[in-house]
Amino acid sequence: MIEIKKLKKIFPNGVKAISEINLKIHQGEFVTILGPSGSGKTTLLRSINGLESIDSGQIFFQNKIIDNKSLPDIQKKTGMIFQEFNLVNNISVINNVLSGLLHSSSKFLSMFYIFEKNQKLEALKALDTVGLLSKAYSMSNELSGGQRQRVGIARAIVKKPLLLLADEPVASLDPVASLAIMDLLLEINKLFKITIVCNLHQMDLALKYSDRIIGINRGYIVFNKINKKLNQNSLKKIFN
Amino acid sequence: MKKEKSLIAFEKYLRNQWSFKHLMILVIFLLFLSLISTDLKINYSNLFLDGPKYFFDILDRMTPPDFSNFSGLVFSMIETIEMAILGTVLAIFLSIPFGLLSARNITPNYFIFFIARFFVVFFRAIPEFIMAMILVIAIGFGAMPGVLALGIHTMGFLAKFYAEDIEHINKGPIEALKSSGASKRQIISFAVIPQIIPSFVANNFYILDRNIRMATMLGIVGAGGIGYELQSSFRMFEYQKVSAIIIIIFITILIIDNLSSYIRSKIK
Repeated sequence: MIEIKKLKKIFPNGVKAISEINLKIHQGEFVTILGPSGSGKTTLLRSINGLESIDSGQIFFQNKIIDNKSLPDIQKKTGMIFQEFNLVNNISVINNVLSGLLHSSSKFLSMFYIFEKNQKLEALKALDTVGLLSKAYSMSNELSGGQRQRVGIARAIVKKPLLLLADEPVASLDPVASLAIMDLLLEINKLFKITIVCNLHQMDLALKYSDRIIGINRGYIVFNKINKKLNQNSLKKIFN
Repeated sequence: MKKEKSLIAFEKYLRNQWSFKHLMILVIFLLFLSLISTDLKINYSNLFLDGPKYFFDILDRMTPPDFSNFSGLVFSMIETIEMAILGTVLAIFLSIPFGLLSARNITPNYFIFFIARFFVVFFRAIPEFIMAMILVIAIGFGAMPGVLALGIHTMGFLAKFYAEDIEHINKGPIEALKSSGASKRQIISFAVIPQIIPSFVANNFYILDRNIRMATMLGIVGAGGIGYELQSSFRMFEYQKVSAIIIIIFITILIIDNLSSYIRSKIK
């Protein structure tokens, strides 16, 4: 589904975020990118949906190269979940979820928060999937951290994406809420067959939930293994 | 185990609270103030020698306040408030596009940003008093030049406030919408406007509050309202009427000021 070839990224301040990465992600997989802070995993994820420009290399999505021309189409097929949820506080939960459908909404009417009935139903269904249907008309800033991340997930899945990119989805949550969110992501992966690429820095969560773990450090892939074949030594390599 | 150190051990770290540098800055500042006063030919001794005599003389002529035309004065005060409301609404409408275009993070390009900022600074730089004087000559006496002067001048303020608010919003929601393929207008509508709404409302009330105070002044240059009454009474040496007008202005502004502060505190 995704193929990354010789990807490199250096920030204007000289920081080498990605030294060289070659990678393949298959349809329906739950892949975790594991690494310490500053290892380049966020840059890698953001490069896939165009939030970060790349210096050299190529990224393919369903055998189609990602460039300025193909990016809008790829963004329609991709959902993203953020560490800090990135919700708009002063609008309702359902409007936050509907914002995930802006690409397919009337450019004029959506500016006034007017959506089709079907779109609203899809938003309610997404909220039901994440267990927040009862909070649809609450204001987003009235929710707890875990609930806010659930809204973030509903916003990402409402457009029925083929790929879900989750950038440290549980880094701002307590352990109980973290497990609940990871359970939800796994459920979405299995139920809707959505490919998930998830950035994490917690080894236990990566081992528990992923099909495959890609260890990354200093912009290089340290290992790329199926979960079952991993041992503690491989894991320690990326954190030491 | 470590021994507790004697206080004497720390004496070498002591420094004067005020250094020679601080003293020099103070001397230069005082010198600067005295140079300005000399240039403006301000004689502070007059303020204390002749000032009180004339002040008590005018105060004597202003008392007791003459409220014989109370209803007329209240009517003029209402006209002033109406002028301020219209001016504020005009300022809000004008400042929304200018505010959006002069915010660095959402302006379409640097050229438009520069043009928008130019107009915002230009209209903020011309006081409404001068603008009203020009407009009175251009379109005649009455409320219209006052409304336009207030609207155009405070547009400069509001647009600046809006632009600064937009520049300081949380960028996370913008990024989230961008990643899902939303257009720039949709991002403004969904991620920018909801974030600035509380300060938008608070700023508008602040400007309304300010415009009511300024509208009383604009009457002096012929833009109608209570200011016009004030100017007329001054010209006719009717100082008791002047004091009545000042009392009415004071009470109105006191009410508006408290009301505006209350509403702004509720919004925050």
